[in-house]
Amino acid sequence: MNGPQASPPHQFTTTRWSVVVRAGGADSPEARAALEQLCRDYWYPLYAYVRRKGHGPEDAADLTQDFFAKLLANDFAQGLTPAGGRFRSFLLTALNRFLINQWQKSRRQKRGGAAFTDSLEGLINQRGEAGYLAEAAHQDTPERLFQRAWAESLLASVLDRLAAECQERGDWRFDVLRPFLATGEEPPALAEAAAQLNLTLGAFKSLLHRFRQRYRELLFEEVGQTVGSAGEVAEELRGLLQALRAT
Amino acid sequence: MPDNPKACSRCGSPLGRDVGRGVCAACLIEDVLPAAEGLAAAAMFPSPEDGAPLLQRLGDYELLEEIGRGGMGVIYKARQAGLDRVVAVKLLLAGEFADTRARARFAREARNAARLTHPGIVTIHAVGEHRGRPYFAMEYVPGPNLAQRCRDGLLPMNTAARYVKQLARAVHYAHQHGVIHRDLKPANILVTPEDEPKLTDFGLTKSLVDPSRTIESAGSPNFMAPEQADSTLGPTSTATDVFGLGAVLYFLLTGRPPTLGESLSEILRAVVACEPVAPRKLRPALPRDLETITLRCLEREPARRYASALEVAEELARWRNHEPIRARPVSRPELLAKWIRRNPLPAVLGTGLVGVVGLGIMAVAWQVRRAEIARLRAEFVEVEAPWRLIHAAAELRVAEVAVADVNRDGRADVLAALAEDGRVGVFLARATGEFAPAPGSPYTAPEVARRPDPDGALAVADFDGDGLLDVAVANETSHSLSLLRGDGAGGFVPCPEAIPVGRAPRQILVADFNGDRRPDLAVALIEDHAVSVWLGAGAMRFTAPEGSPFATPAGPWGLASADFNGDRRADLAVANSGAGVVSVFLNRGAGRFVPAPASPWPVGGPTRDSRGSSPFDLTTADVNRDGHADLISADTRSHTITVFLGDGTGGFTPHASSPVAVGGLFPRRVRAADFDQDGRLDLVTANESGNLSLLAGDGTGGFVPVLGSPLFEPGSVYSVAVADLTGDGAPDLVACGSTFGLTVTGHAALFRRTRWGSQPGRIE
Repeated sequence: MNGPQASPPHQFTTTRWSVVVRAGGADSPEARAALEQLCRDYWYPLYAYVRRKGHGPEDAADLTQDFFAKLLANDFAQGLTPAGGRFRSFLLTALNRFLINQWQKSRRQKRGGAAFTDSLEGLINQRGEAGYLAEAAHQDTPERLFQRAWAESLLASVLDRLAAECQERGDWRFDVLRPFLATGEEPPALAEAAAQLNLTLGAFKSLLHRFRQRYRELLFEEVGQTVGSAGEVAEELRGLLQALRAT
Repeated sequence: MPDNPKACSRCGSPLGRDVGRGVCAACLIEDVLPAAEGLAAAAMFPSPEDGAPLLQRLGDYELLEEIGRGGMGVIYKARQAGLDRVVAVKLLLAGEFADTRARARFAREARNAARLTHPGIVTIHAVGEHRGRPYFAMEYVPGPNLAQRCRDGLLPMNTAARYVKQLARAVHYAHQHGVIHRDLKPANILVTPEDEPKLTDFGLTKSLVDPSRTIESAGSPNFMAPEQADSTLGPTSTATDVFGLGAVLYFLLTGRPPTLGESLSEILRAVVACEPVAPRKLRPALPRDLETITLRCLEREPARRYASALEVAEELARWRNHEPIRARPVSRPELLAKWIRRNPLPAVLGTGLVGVVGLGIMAVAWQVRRAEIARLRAEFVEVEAPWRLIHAAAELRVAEVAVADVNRDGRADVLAALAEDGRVGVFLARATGEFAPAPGSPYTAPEVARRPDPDGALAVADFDGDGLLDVAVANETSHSLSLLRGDGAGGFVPCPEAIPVGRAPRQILVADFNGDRRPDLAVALIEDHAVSVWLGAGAMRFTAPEGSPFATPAGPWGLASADFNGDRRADLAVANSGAGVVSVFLNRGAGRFVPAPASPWPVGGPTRDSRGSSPFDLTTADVNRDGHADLISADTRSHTITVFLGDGTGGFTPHASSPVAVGGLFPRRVRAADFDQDGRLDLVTANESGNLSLLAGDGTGGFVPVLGSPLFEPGSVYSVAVADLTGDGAPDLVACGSTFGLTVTGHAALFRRTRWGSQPGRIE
């Protein structure tokens, strides 16, 4: 037989995080854009983490923005290596270091009106605290909250993309299919949904199969953007799951 | 609907943002993990069982059946229209992600590869693109690959040598045509029905990877050369394929790849840091010459490998003809030197020298990147190694650790400030060498209970003069200090009143500042930019002397105390992380402090980092053995330690700077002790990068990093304490930190120096 046997995928391709790492930070426009996109997708876990660390809503919003400003000013990027450097763990380490340096707080200055941090400010003010109050389980440690918020941000953006794709195609079945994304739904529920779509159970299952498959593809792609390479996706997911399951 | 709308319907854990309609994120990820683990490709290409094949045609090729799939894509058996021949078509997954430049590179290299015509190389017929995904058509070889061929047992040595000899000739031919494979491994080698090996995937899969990437791996990292895992070791070259040939030979002779590891990052680290286990250890019957040839191919330094693939072929031919080979075996000292950087867990356990408890995180591996360190390494011929877990408590994050015999049984116990809530965990040493939580542990001071502190600090001393050890805990959140009264049996009773010490206390130091033999306290206040001094009055009471708190440069973080000016009073040194300096305050008696005349001193020395310094900690010791206390600061911005030599009058001279061991970043605690028992003080740093670093002292104030151990991953090491836990007179280590939340001790002699070069000392 030609070619390699099934082995874990370890190929290294261009991901947003790899662009950042390769540039050693946000120095190139390409890297900056990639980093901005990542920050846009994952600001909430940071905000929640800072809040849970005991900072008030205003301070947390300020700190989160300051942190991103620092990040985009390339203040943390030195010393990163793609080998150990996934975006999630990088962010948490960088943020911890940032928070440790709290003495800076007293002489913190307002950031210059960079368009990106400004746009982030809007987002945080609008959604951060509301999200935190609605979503944070307050027994959580800051780390756990961070990991959970991270996973949820990840899944939410995947679902957004999936919904957008369906909408683009004029496929209105997203809402019916979505509750079945998690495997293991009871057959009666499946039959009900199939009936709702006027499909046989078999046809519904195969539709669901394709739907889940596309969801997985998007999820892998999304995770891929936060690690050094597509090959690390499984490892990152495993790490994330481990962090979520740790009590 | 679940009963509790805020809990996962499947596992019951709390739901935040309900992305999964009642199912939590962890469960959703669990769902997809098998697919991610199994194969990203499986998700990208529906496999035949899922229904009709996705594709029936690719350009000229009619796809007949799927015959393989891997990380890189799917392989089909296909018929080429017109020529009516059977070919194999490989459709690459990488096209999904590859950018235009990568695709252009792919096309260029594919053209080169297609020019290769050699009996040992699977011929490329054509290269194309399908919806942005590159594919290529190649000679169809039905036979198993070498990995499959070895599944039923090891090949005869003669066959293994013949295969690799033939492959080496094929690789040499490709090198002559300017094509490097870069991914030699058993799965990429097919065996024809005539029992001839053929190389596949020549120069193709790798070309999709941007060569500027630090890790340019496709395929299995177990067969990767060090320079592929760490681009700072040099570019990939034909020598990379020589390593690959050695890796394949190693696999054929021993049945396992040269590098093992549990995860990608672990393997990559091992590729860079570890020597493969000698093949004869795994297969004693192996002739020494075959081992020599294999290990020569697998030399870490490309220049030390065979100069060409042809030389490998010729050496193997010599061996097969019973002629003497050219390479000489690795000498005994070289072997010993290599032992210390050898592959962690399996090898270490195999030696029976060390008991490693718990998870795989304690594997000691260390990296070489600079010539100086490589040179130093060669001088280390013995390492009594690694780490012994004394208490694993995965649920704990530990911010600070202290060691003291709190139950008066002659054995050192471990106290830990638990991160998240600032409680104090007490772990009592048992006669067996194990540690067990004290019955009431962890203890909570009332103030801490009101305002949990994620980053507590603690100190141990007899604060009430009853001869039993007590504990002081700093609570950064409530700006206070809490005290716990010890009962001498390992139990503690929190005192109701907290001492308001000032804003954000971060480190507590115990010393006798007024000479009354009662323990006093100095507390670093990182938000007040001050140090607050508290004189012990017995009965757990403290009074603030005049002038306390006194101002320091910004961000006082670390504290150290010794008599710096020879007046027999305890002076104070402060690491000011905000100001990037080390400041010294002289004790004028009764706990009144004034800045030393030339204080502060900038930290950093000749660092490569232009953004300045941020010393988080310092310690004091007489490192140059001149009878005067010196200072050593740990800088989290430049990842260095800096030595300031004391002149005995309160003055200090910056002496030397050294990076903490390679791989160690963000040192936030430094301590000195003579780890190798050679009469010269050494250093240990706790690094936020998740490991400890050891630096060997030369007795004159110079330090060189000798070990950087990826101990705790992922996570940060927050602190380390030095104490003799084993009672053998040699210093041990207790480390604590995030994520792993445990305390660990190092074995007595962590490293042993046998000889230094003529110029020991600084790396600047």
